[in-house]
Amino acid sequence: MTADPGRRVLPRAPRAVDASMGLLNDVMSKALDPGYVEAAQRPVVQRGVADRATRTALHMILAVLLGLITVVAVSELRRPLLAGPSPRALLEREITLRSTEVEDLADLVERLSADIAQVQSDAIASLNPGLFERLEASELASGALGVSGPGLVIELDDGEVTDPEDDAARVQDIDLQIVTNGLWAAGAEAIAINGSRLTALTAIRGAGQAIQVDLAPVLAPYRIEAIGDVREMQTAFARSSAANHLAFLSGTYGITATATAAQQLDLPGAGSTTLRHATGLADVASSSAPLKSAPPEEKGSP
Amino acid sequence: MIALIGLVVGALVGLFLEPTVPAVLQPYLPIAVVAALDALFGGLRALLDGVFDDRVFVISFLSNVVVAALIVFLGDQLGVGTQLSTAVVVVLGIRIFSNAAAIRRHLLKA
Repeated sequence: MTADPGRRVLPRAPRAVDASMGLLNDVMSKALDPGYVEAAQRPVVQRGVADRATRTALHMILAVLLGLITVVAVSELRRPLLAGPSPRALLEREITLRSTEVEDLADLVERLSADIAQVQSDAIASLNPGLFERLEASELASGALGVSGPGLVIELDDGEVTDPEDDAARVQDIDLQIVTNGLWAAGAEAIAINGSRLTALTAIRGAGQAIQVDLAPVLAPYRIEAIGDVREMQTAFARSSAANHLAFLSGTYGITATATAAQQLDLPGAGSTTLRHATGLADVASSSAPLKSAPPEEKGSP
Repeated sequence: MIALIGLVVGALVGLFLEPTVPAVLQPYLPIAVVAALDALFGGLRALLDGVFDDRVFVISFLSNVVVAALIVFLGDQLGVGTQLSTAVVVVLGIRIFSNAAAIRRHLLKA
Protein backbone atom coordinates (compact mmCIF):
# COMPACT_ATOMS: atom_id res chain seq x y z
CA MET A 1 0.00 0.00 0.00
CA THR A 2 1.50 3.38 -0.97
CA ALA A 3 1.17 6.16 1.56
CA ASP A 4 -1.37 8.77 0.60
CA PRO A 5 0.16 12.17 1.46
CA GLY A 6 -3.19 13.56 2.48
CA ARG A 7 -3.94 10.79 4.94
CA ARG A 8 -2.14 9.73 8.09
CA VAL A 9 -1.11 6.10 8.09
CA LEU A 10 -2.16 4.43 11.30
CA PRO A 11 0.46 2.24 12.88
CA ARG A 12 -0.75 -1.28 12.40
CA ALA A 13 -0.66 -3.83 15.15
CA PRO A 14 1.87 -6.62 14.40
CA ARG A 15 0.31 -9.68 12.83
CA ALA A 16 -0.34 -12.40 15.34
CA VAL A 17 1.99 -15.38 15.02
CA ASP A 18 -0.88 -17.82 14.77
CA ALA A 19 -3.12 -15.64 12.63
CA SER A 20 -3.35 -18.29 9.97
CA MET A 21 -4.81 -20.68 12.51
CA GLY A 22 -7.64 -18.36 13.47
CA LEU A 23 -10.33 -20.83 12.58
CA LEU A 24 -8.78 -23.68 14.52
CA ASN A 25 -8.11 -21.41 17.50
CA ASP A 26 -11.72 -20.30 17.40
CA VAL A 27 -12.92 -23.87 17.39
CA MET A 28 -10.60 -24.83 20.22
CA SER A 29 -11.05 -21.88 22.56
CA LYS A 30 -14.73 -21.18 21.96
CA ALA A 31 -15.83 -24.75 22.29
CA LEU A 32 -18.72 -23.71 24.49
CA ASP A 33 -21.50 -22.13 22.52
CA PRO A 34 -21.10 -18.37 23.13
CA GLY A 35 -24.87 -18.21 23.44
CA TYR A 36 -24.70 -19.61 26.96
CA VAL A 37 -22.43 -16.84 28.20
CA GLU A 38 -24.49 -14.17 26.46
CA ALA A 39 -27.68 -15.56 27.93
CA ALA A 40 -26.12 -15.57 31.39
CA GLN A 41 -24.99 -11.95 31.03
CA ARG A 42 -28.35 -10.76 29.75
CA PRO A 43 -30.38 -8.96 32.42
CA VAL A 44 -33.07 -11.20 33.85
CA VAL A 45 -36.47 -10.36 32.41
CA GLN A 46 -39.41 -10.72 34.72
CA ARG A 47 -42.17 -12.55 32.86
CA GLY A 48 -45.72 -13.39 33.73
CA VAL A 49 -46.75 -16.88 34.80
CA ALA A 50 -48.55 -17.62 31.53
CA ASP A 51 -45.60 -16.43 29.48
CA ARG A 52 -43.20 -18.60 31.49
CA ALA A 53 -45.47 -21.62 31.12
CA THR A 54 -45.69 -21.31 27.32
CA ARG A 55 -41.92 -20.91 27.07
CA THR A 56 -41.34 -23.95 29.27
CA ALA A 57 -43.86 -25.98 27.30
CA LEU A 58 -42.20 -24.97 24.04
CA HIS A 59 -38.77 -25.92 25.36
CA MET A 60 -40.14 -29.20 26.60
CA ILE A 61 -41.80 -30.10 23.30
CA LEU A 62 -38.75 -29.18 21.26
CA ALA A 63 -36.46 -31.08 23.62
CA VAL A 64 -38.66 -34.18 23.48
CA LEU A 65 -38.64 -33.94 19.69
CA LEU A 66 -34.87 -33.57 19.58
CA GLY A 67 -34.31 -36.46 21.95
CA LEU A 68 -36.63 -38.58 19.83
CA ILE A 69 -34.81 -37.64 16.61
CA THR A 70 -31.42 -38.37 18.10
CA VAL A 71 -32.34 -41.76 19.50
CA VAL A 72 -34.16 -42.79 16.35
CA ALA A 73 -31.16 -41.74 14.28
CA VAL A 74 -28.80 -43.67 16.52
CA SER A 75 -30.92 -46.83 16.49
CA GLU A 76 -31.37 -46.54 12.73
CA LEU A 77 -27.60 -46.32 12.29
CA ARG A 78 -27.07 -49.35 14.48
CA ARG A 79 -29.66 -51.45 12.70
CA PRO A 80 -27.57 -52.70 9.73
CA LEU A 81 -25.03 -54.07 12.19
CA LEU A 82 -27.66 -56.03 14.08
CA ALA A 83 -29.94 -57.26 11.31
CA GLY A 84 -29.64 -58.03 7.63
CA PRO A 85 -27.86 -60.84 5.86
CA SER A 86 -24.45 -61.57 7.29
CA PRO A 87 -21.45 -61.03 5.01
CA ARG A 88 -20.52 -64.67 5.45
CA ALA A 89 -23.87 -65.88 4.12
CA LEU A 90 -23.56 -63.47 1.20
CA LEU A 91 -20.10 -64.76 0.38
CA GLU A 92 -21.25 -68.35 0.65
CA ARG A 93 -24.09 -67.67 -1.75
CA GLU A 94 -21.69 -65.93 -4.11
CA ILE A 95 -19.31 -68.89 -3.97
CA THR A 96 -21.99 -71.50 -4.73
CA LEU A 97 -23.37 -69.29 -7.49
CA ARG A 98 -19.98 -68.85 -9.10
CA SER A 99 -19.12 -72.52 -8.66
CA THR A 100 -22.22 -73.62 -10.57
CA GLU A 101 -21.35 -71.03 -13.20
CA VAL A 102 -17.86 -72.50 -13.50
CA GLU A 103 -19.32 -76.00 -13.77
CA ASP A 104 -21.71 -74.89 -16.49
CA LEU A 105 -18.87 -73.28 -18.39
CA ALA A 106 -16.70 -76.38 -17.98
CA ASP A 107 -19.55 -78.46 -19.40
CA LEU A 108 -19.82 -76.05 -22.30
CA VAL A 109 -16.08 -76.29 -22.93
CA GLU A 110 -16.31 -80.06 -22.94
CA ARG A 111 -19.22 -80.05 -25.37
CA LEU A 112 -17.55 -77.56 -27.68
CA SER A 113 -14.27 -79.48 -27.56
CA ALA A 114 -16.13 -82.61 -28.58
CA ASP A 115 -17.77 -80.67 -31.42
CA ILE A 116 -14.42 -79.31 -32.53
CA ALA A 117 -12.86 -82.75 -32.42
CA GLN A 118 -15.75 -84.10 -34.45
CA VAL A 119 -15.51 -81.36 -37.05
CA GLN A 120 -11.76 -81.76 -37.17
CA SER A 121 -11.90 -85.48 -37.75
CA ASP A 122 -14.64 -85.05 -40.36
CA ALA A 123 -12.58 -82.48 -42.20
CA ILE A 124 -9.15 -84.04 -42.03
CA ALA A 125 -9.81 -87.78 -41.83
CA SER A 126 -10.98 -88.12 -45.42
CA LEU A 127 -8.58 -85.56 -46.88
CA ASN A 128 -5.38 -86.53 -45.21
CA PRO A 129 -5.55 -89.76 -43.19
CA GLY A 130 -1.86 -89.63 -42.33
CA LEU A 131 -2.10 -86.16 -40.82
CA PHE A 132 -5.22 -87.13 -38.90
CA GLU A 133 -3.45 -90.10 -37.39
CA ARG A 134 -0.59 -87.92 -36.27
CA LEU A 135 -3.00 -85.39 -34.84
CA GLU A 136 -4.84 -88.04 -32.88
CA ALA A 137 -1.65 -89.48 -31.54
CA SER A 138 -0.43 -86.10 -30.33
CA GLU A 139 -3.84 -85.28 -28.88
CA LEU A 140 -3.74 -88.54 -26.99
CA ALA A 141 -0.29 -87.83 -25.69
CA SER A 142 -1.04 -84.23 -24.76
CA GLY A 143 -4.17 -85.15 -22.87
CA ALA A 144 -6.55 -83.20 -25.07
CA LEU A 145 -8.52 -86.36 -25.78
CA GLY A 146 -10.48 -88.38 -23.24
CA VAL A 147 -9.09 -91.86 -22.76
CA SER A 148 -10.25 -95.07 -21.14
CA GLY A 149 -8.66 -98.33 -20.16
CA PRO A 150 -7.46 -100.37 -17.19
CA GLY A 151 -5.45 -98.60 -14.56
CA LEU A 152 -4.59 -97.86 -10.98
CA VAL A 153 -6.65 -95.76 -8.55
CA ILE A 154 -5.01 -94.16 -5.54
CA GLU A 155 -7.26 -92.52 -3.01
CA LEU A 156 -5.91 -90.07 -0.45
CA ASP A 157 -7.93 -88.63 2.41
CA ASP A 158 -7.14 -86.13 5.15
CA GLY A 159 -6.27 -87.45 8.56
CA GLU A 160 -8.25 -86.41 11.59
CA VAL A 161 -8.06 -82.63 11.84
CA THR A 162 -8.17 -81.63 15.48
CA ASP A 163 -7.12 -78.00 15.07
CA PRO A 164 -8.67 -76.24 12.07
CA GLU A 165 -5.64 -73.92 11.98
CA ASP A 166 -3.21 -76.81 11.77
CA ASP A 167 -2.73 -78.15 8.25
CA ALA A 168 -0.37 -80.96 9.14
CA ALA A 169 -3.01 -83.72 8.97
CA ARG A 170 -4.36 -82.49 5.66
CA VAL A 171 -3.18 -83.76 2.29
CA GLN A 172 -0.90 -81.08 0.85
CA ASP A 173 -0.22 -80.11 -2.72
CA ILE A 174 3.27 -81.58 -2.43
CA ASP A 175 1.76 -84.99 -1.55
CA LEU A 176 -0.33 -85.02 -4.72
CA GLN A 177 2.70 -83.87 -6.71
CA ILE A 178 4.83 -86.70 -5.36
CA VAL A 179 2.14 -89.31 -6.02
CA THR A 180 1.44 -88.13 -9.58
CA ASN A 181 5.15 -87.92 -10.37
CA GLY A 182 5.56 -91.42 -8.96
CA LEU A 183 2.74 -92.63 -11.18
CA TRP A 184 4.22 -91.00 -14.27
CA ALA A 185 7.54 -92.60 -13.42
CA ALA A 186 5.81 -95.95 -12.95
CA GLY A 187 4.56 -95.82 -16.52
CA ALA A 188 1.15 -94.15 -16.30
CA GLU A 189 -0.12 -93.00 -19.67
CA ALA A 190 -2.83 -90.65 -18.43
CA ILE A 191 -3.64 -89.31 -14.98
CA ALA A 192 -6.62 -87.43 -13.56
CA ILE A 193 -7.15 -86.07 -10.07
CA ASN A 194 -10.81 -85.93 -9.02
CA GLY A 195 -11.80 -85.98 -12.67
CA SER A 196 -9.42 -83.25 -13.70
CA ARG A 197 -7.03 -84.50 -16.35
CA LEU A 198 -3.34 -83.76 -15.96
CA THR A 199 -1.34 -82.63 -18.94
CA ALA A 200 2.21 -81.45 -19.34
CA LEU A 201 1.00 -77.95 -18.48
CA THR A 202 -1.19 -78.74 -15.48
CA ALA A 203 -0.04 -77.31 -12.17
CA ILE A 204 -0.81 -78.83 -8.78
CA ARG A 205 -0.47 -76.06 -6.29
CA GLY A 206 -1.57 -75.07 -2.85
CA ALA A 207 -3.58 -71.87 -2.44
CA GLY A 208 -4.12 -71.26 1.25
CA GLN A 209 -5.73 -74.41 2.57
CA ALA A 210 -7.06 -75.52 -0.80
CA ILE A 211 -5.25 -77.54 -3.41
CA GLN A 212 -5.67 -76.40 -6.96
CA VAL A 213 -5.32 -78.71 -9.92
CA ASP A 214 -5.20 -76.84 -13.19
CA LEU A 215 -6.20 -73.67 -11.28
CA ALA A 216 -9.46 -75.22 -10.03
CA PRO A 217 -9.80 -76.22 -6.39
CA VAL A 218 -10.19 -79.90 -5.57
CA LEU A 219 -11.41 -81.26 -2.25
CA ALA A 220 -10.62 -84.33 -0.18
CA PRO A 221 -10.90 -87.27 -0.70
CA TYR A 222 -8.49 -87.07 -3.60
CA ARG A 223 -8.96 -89.79 -6.23
CA ILE A 224 -5.95 -90.14 -8.51
CA GLU A 225 -6.69 -92.29 -11.52
CA ALA A 226 -3.85 -93.48 -13.72
CA ILE A 227 -4.29 -95.46 -16.90
CA GLY A 228 -1.54 -97.82 -17.91
CA ASP A 229 -0.29 -101.37 -17.58
CA VAL A 230 -1.74 -102.22 -14.16
CA ARG A 231 0.66 -104.90 -13.01
CA GLU A 232 3.76 -103.08 -14.18
CA MET A 233 2.57 -99.80 -12.65
CA GLN A 234 1.72 -101.44 -9.34
CA THR A 235 5.17 -102.97 -9.03
CA ALA A 236 7.04 -99.88 -10.12
CA PHE A 237 4.96 -97.59 -7.93
CA ALA A 238 5.38 -99.80 -4.87
CA ARG A 239 9.15 -99.57 -5.32
CA SER A 240 9.18 -95.81 -5.85
CA SER A 241 9.85 -93.08 -3.29
CA ALA A 242 6.22 -91.98 -3.70
CA ALA A 243 5.08 -95.20 -1.99
CA ASN A 244 7.51 -94.48 0.83
CA HIS A 245 6.08 -91.02 1.10
CA LEU A 246 2.52 -92.38 1.35
CA ALA A 247 3.58 -94.80 4.07
CA PHE A 248 5.21 -91.94 5.92
CA LEU A 249 2.04 -89.81 5.60
CA SER A 250 -0.25 -92.51 6.95
CA GLY A 251 2.18 -93.34 9.74
CA THR A 252 2.80 -89.76 10.87
CA TYR A 253 -0.39 -87.84 10.09
CA GLY A 254 -3.03 -90.54 9.74
CA ILE A 255 -3.59 -89.67 6.09
CA THR A 256 -5.23 -92.69 4.49
CA ALA A 257 -3.96 -93.89 1.14
CA THR A 258 -5.35 -96.87 -0.76
CA ALA A 259 -4.25 -98.18 -4.12
CA THR A 260 -6.60 -100.37 -6.11
CA ALA A 261 -6.51 -101.75 -9.62
CA ALA A 262 -9.44 -100.95 -11.89
CA GLN A 263 -10.47 -102.77 -15.04
CA GLN A 264 -11.98 -99.75 -16.68
CA LEU A 265 -11.21 -96.10 -16.07
CA ASP A 266 -12.62 -93.24 -18.10
CA LEU A 267 -10.55 -90.07 -17.98
CA PRO A 268 -11.87 -86.88 -19.55
CA GLY A 269 -9.88 -84.73 -21.92
CA ALA A 270 -8.18 -81.65 -20.55
CA GLY A 271 -10.64 -79.33 -22.19
CA SER A 272 -9.76 -76.69 -24.71
CA THR A 273 -6.53 -76.70 -26.61
CA THR A 274 -4.84 -73.51 -27.62
CA LEU A 275 -2.83 -72.91 -30.73
CA ARG A 276 0.63 -71.99 -29.51
CA HIS A 277 2.87 -72.90 -32.37
CA ALA A 278 2.38 -73.25 -36.09
CA THR A 279 4.59 -73.89 -39.08
CA GLY A 280 3.76 -73.55 -42.73
CA LEU A 281 3.17 -76.64 -44.81
CA ALA A 282 5.84 -77.19 -47.44
CA ASP A 283 3.47 -78.35 -50.17
CA VAL A 284 0.94 -75.53 -49.98
CA ALA A 285 0.79 -73.12 -52.89
CA SER A 286 2.90 -70.03 -52.22
CA SER A 287 0.03 -67.58 -52.76
CA SER A 288 -1.89 -68.84 -49.75
CA ALA A 289 1.14 -69.69 -47.67
CA PRO A 290 1.45 -66.38 -45.79
CA LEU A 291 -2.12 -66.75 -44.61
CA LYS A 292 -1.83 -70.28 -43.36
CA SER A 293 1.57 -70.20 -41.76
CA ALA A 294 2.71 -68.24 -38.78
CA PRO A 295 5.32 -65.55 -39.36
CA PRO A 296 8.79 -67.05 -39.05
CA GLU A 297 9.73 -64.94 -36.01
CA GLU A 298 6.94 -66.49 -34.01
CA LYS A 299 8.22 -69.95 -34.67
CA GLY A 300 9.09 -71.80 -31.53
CA SER A 301 7.59 -69.20 -29.22
CA PRO A 302 5.51 -70.77 -26.43
CA MET B 1 -33.34 -28.03 33.17
CA ILE B 2 -36.69 -28.74 31.57
CA ALA B 3 -34.94 -29.17 28.21
CA LEU B 4 -32.70 -31.92 29.53
CA ILE B 5 -35.68 -33.72 31.03
CA GLY B 6 -37.52 -33.36 27.75
CA LEU B 7 -34.56 -34.77 25.90
CA VAL B 8 -34.50 -37.83 28.12
CA VAL B 9 -38.27 -38.29 27.73
CA GLY B 10 -37.95 -38.02 23.96
CA ALA B 11 -35.09 -40.53 23.97
CA LEU B 12 -37.17 -42.99 26.00
CA VAL B 13 -40.12 -42.56 23.67
CA GLY B 14 -37.84 -43.19 20.71
CA LEU B 15 -36.44 -46.32 22.30
CA PHE B 16 -39.93 -47.56 23.07
CA LEU B 17 -41.62 -46.83 19.75
CA GLU B 18 -38.69 -47.48 17.40
CA PRO B 19 -40.14 -45.63 14.43
CA THR B 20 -38.50 -46.17 11.05
CA VAL B 21 -36.72 -43.37 9.27
CA PRO B 22 -37.65 -42.73 5.64
CA ALA B 23 -34.85 -43.69 3.26
CA VAL B 24 -34.57 -40.09 2.03
CA LEU B 25 -33.27 -38.98 5.43
CA GLN B 26 -30.80 -41.84 5.84
CA PRO B 27 -27.69 -40.02 4.58
CA TYR B 28 -28.18 -37.21 7.11
CA LEU B 29 -28.31 -39.41 10.19
CA PRO B 30 -24.60 -39.84 10.98
CA ILE B 31 -23.77 -36.14 10.84
CA ALA B 32 -26.97 -35.27 12.68
CA VAL B 33 -25.97 -37.60 15.50
CA VAL B 34 -22.52 -36.05 15.72
CA ALA B 35 -24.08 -32.59 15.80
CA ALA B 36 -26.49 -33.70 18.51
CA LEU B 37 -23.57 -35.06 20.53
CA ASP B 38 -21.81 -31.71 20.19
CA ALA B 39 -24.88 -29.84 21.44
CA LEU B 40 -25.29 -32.33 24.25
CA PHE B 41 -21.71 -31.93 25.44
CA GLY B 42 -22.01 -28.14 25.12
CA GLY B 43 -25.14 -28.21 27.27
CA LEU B 44 -23.51 -30.43 29.86
CA ARG B 45 -20.53 -28.15 30.10
CA ALA B 46 -22.76 -25.08 30.41
CA LEU B 47 -24.63 -26.86 33.17
CA LEU B 48 -21.38 -27.44 35.05
CA ASP B 49 -20.22 -23.88 34.33
CA GLY B 50 -23.49 -22.69 35.82
CA VAL B 51 -24.63 -20.85 32.70
CA PHE B 52 -27.09 -23.41 31.38
CA ASP B 53 -30.10 -21.98 29.64
CA ASP B 54 -33.01 -24.00 28.29
CA ARG B 55 -33.62 -21.68 25.38
CA VAL B 56 -29.99 -21.59 24.25
CA PHE B 57 -29.68 -25.35 24.64
CA VAL B 58 -32.78 -26.18 22.61
CA ILE B 59 -31.96 -23.67 19.88
CA SER B 60 -28.31 -24.70 19.62
CA PHE B 61 -29.32 -28.35 19.50
CA LEU B 62 -31.92 -27.76 16.81
CA SER B 63 -29.72 -25.50 14.71
CA ASN B 64 -26.79 -27.90 15.01
CA VAL B 65 -28.81 -30.80 13.65
CA VAL B 66 -30.45 -28.76 10.92
CA VAL B 67 -27.21 -27.11 9.80
CA ALA B 68 -25.40 -30.43 9.78
CA ALA B 69 -28.12 -31.98 7.63
CA LEU B 70 -28.06 -28.95 5.34
CA ILE B 71 -24.29 -29.19 4.92
CA VAL B 72 -24.56 -32.84 3.97
CA PHE B 73 -27.36 -32.04 1.53
CA LEU B 74 -25.36 -29.20 0.00
CA GLY B 75 -22.25 -31.36 -0.21
CA ASP B 76 -24.17 -34.12 -1.95
CA GLN B 77 -25.59 -31.65 -4.43
CA LEU B 78 -22.13 -30.24 -5.16
CA GLY B 79 -20.48 -33.64 -5.34
CA VAL B 80 -18.26 -33.03 -2.32
CA GLY B 81 -20.48 -34.75 0.23
CA THR B 82 -17.76 -36.88 1.76
CA GLN B 83 -15.26 -34.04 2.08
CA LEU B 84 -17.80 -31.68 3.64
CA SER B 85 -18.95 -34.39 6.03
CA THR B 86 -15.33 -34.94 7.03
CA ALA B 87 -14.88 -31.23 7.66
CA VAL B 88 -18.00 -31.11 9.80
CA VAL B 89 -16.95 -34.18 11.76
CA VAL B 90 -13.49 -32.69 12.36
CA VAL B 91 -14.81 -29.37 13.64
CA LEU B 92 -17.54 -30.92 15.77
CA GLY B 93 -15.11 -33.56 16.99
CA ILE B 94 -12.67 -30.90 18.21
CA ARG B 95 -15.51 -29.10 19.97
CA ILE B 96 -16.74 -32.30 21.58
CA PHE B 97 -13.21 -33.00 22.74
CA SER B 98 -12.64 -29.60 24.32
CA ASN B 99 -16.08 -29.62 25.94
CA ALA B 100 -15.48 -33.12 27.25
CA ALA B 101 -12.14 -31.93 28.63
CA ALA B 102 -13.86 -29.01 30.38
CA ILE B 103 -16.46 -31.38 31.84
CA ARG B 104 -13.69 -33.66 33.03
CA ARG B 105 -11.94 -30.72 34.72
CA HIS B 106 -15.19 -29.82 36.44
CA LEU B 107 -15.97 -33.30 37.66
CA LEU B 108 -12.53 -34.66 38.46
CA LYS B 109 -10.71 -31.35 39.09
CA ALA B 110 -7.92 -32.64 36.91
